[in-house]
Amino acid sequence: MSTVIEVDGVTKRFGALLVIDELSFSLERGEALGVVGPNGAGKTTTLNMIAGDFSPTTGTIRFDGHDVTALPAHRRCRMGIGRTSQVPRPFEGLTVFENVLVGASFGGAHRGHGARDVAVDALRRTGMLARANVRAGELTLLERKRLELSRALSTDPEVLLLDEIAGGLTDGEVMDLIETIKGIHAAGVSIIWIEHIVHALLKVVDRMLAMDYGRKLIEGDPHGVMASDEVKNVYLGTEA
Amino acid sequence: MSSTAAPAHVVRATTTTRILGVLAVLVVAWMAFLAAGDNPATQTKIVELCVFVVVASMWNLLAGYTGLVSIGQQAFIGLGAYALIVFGNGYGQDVYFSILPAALIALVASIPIALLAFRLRGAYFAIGMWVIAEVVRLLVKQYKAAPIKGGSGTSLVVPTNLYPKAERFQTTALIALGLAVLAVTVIALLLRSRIGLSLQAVRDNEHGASGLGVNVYRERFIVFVIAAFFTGAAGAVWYVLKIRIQPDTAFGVSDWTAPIVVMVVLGGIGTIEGPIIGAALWYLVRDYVTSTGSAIQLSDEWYLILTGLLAMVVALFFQRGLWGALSGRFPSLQVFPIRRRLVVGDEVGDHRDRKRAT
Repeated sequence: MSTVIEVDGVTKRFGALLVIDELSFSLERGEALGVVGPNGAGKTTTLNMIAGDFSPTTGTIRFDGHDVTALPAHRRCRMGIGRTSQVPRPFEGLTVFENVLVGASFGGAHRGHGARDVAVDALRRTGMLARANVRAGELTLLERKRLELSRALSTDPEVLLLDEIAGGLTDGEVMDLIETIKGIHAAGVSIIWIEHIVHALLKVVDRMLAMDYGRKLIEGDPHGVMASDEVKNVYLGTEA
Repeated sequence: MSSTAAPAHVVRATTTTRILGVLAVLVVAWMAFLAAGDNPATQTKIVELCVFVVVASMWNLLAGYTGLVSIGQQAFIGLGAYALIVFGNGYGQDVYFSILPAALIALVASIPIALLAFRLRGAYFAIGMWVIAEVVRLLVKQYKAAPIKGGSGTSLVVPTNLYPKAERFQTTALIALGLAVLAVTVIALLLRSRIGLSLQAVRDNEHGASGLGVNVYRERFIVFVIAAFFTGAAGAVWYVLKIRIQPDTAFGVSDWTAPIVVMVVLGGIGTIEGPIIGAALWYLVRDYVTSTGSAIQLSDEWYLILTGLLAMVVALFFQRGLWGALSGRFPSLQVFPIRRRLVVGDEVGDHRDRKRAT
């Protein structure tokens, strides 16, 4: 296996606040990596830096072996890094189809009929095709999350970054979403998935990374990581 | 039964756009008829309305679609106007053939202005553009030598043997109408295109658009330059009619950007139709309330104050403006076929999803 994402000694400060502290990890091609940790651990910040929303203070991020640390988000998206946001904010004035067409036309760099077909395929894979002509502002939360996923898929990602895509959904909806994500993973897309709903993660990911205070606590086999003392301490506290 | 092999296609024009499109053509034809007539008062109104349709549409393209709220668009009005003075009075060129080069001057000037102003975001950009426009105004005002003759102003020399007054009003009205049609057509075609899709995406969520591969800076740059070109052309056309030019009014924020903002906010920001409706309403109502025969006689200043207050109420409580409220009520309502409707066999695109959406 080859490494597709490499986070190498990354530190991020917002003013005096140290959010990410010398973090290093990597994602192999075709792998699904779960990321857990308490609120404020720096999970979303890490994802945002991989997607290119902002650059790390120090350290390097590599994609397919290329240093992408200084590249803006739209360039990284075109290279193959797709992402969903924690709080879905679709283009509300556009229809579901038009939303996905943005990803296919720009991130996927498809033109004309090619873009249309990629968008239709992304909608079908996420079960959103029947809602294609609805304005995105009218969607329910589950539909918005599915739209996030179709938009990311329409950019032809090699790597998909999922930020709490299951948060706020009912158990039944989470189950549906898991099947969709499994399908995307099975098609060969590498995934980094931040999630608080651990049972959902355990059904999909090959490996787990636990973070706290912007540092790596432990990584390895998903069940092993969740059963480890490090993770238990963070979530349950230690006895003094 | 749905079939995955069903071919997908995209429908753009609808019955509504076809009907409203024909209506729009009729309105333009009627205005062309009036412009070609012999009533200078009507021709003046047509020029004023068309110039404001152009500049309001362009301001809306910037603010409504790319989030660039500029209060310095009068910079390009003034640049277009003074370029006209330089070509006309300075080099003795035909006034009408000077309009296009004047617009190109505004376009060229917009490139360094964009490079500078784009370093600022949001409110800072808005104020920054105002400062830039003021700097240009003061520079022009200081330049007292011919042909600019800054200071308290100068007049465009139009050879009356070439263009008697009646003919000048007629030609200018027709050119203004043509410019308005061209500007709106360019906007509609732009928004219909791939770039337009990304502009609408940036309008709704800039951050999300760049996360889907849209180069927001580049799209903004393109729109800014287009807006400068048309705003400059509009400024030149205005002064072919008005003749008398002063730096303080050609570069005046209350002469240009203030009414523009009012028109766009009232008509409906982020739509093609909104600025046109806003400009038309603004002029129709102004004619009514400021004319000497009307019951309520308002000065232009009071009119701007009152419509400004109205715009604030609209911005607070009816953010989508008149056209936005209408198209929210009737989702299929659009004059220009911008929307894309996906049809895939019987899976989507028949009347089924339309029912589900309501």
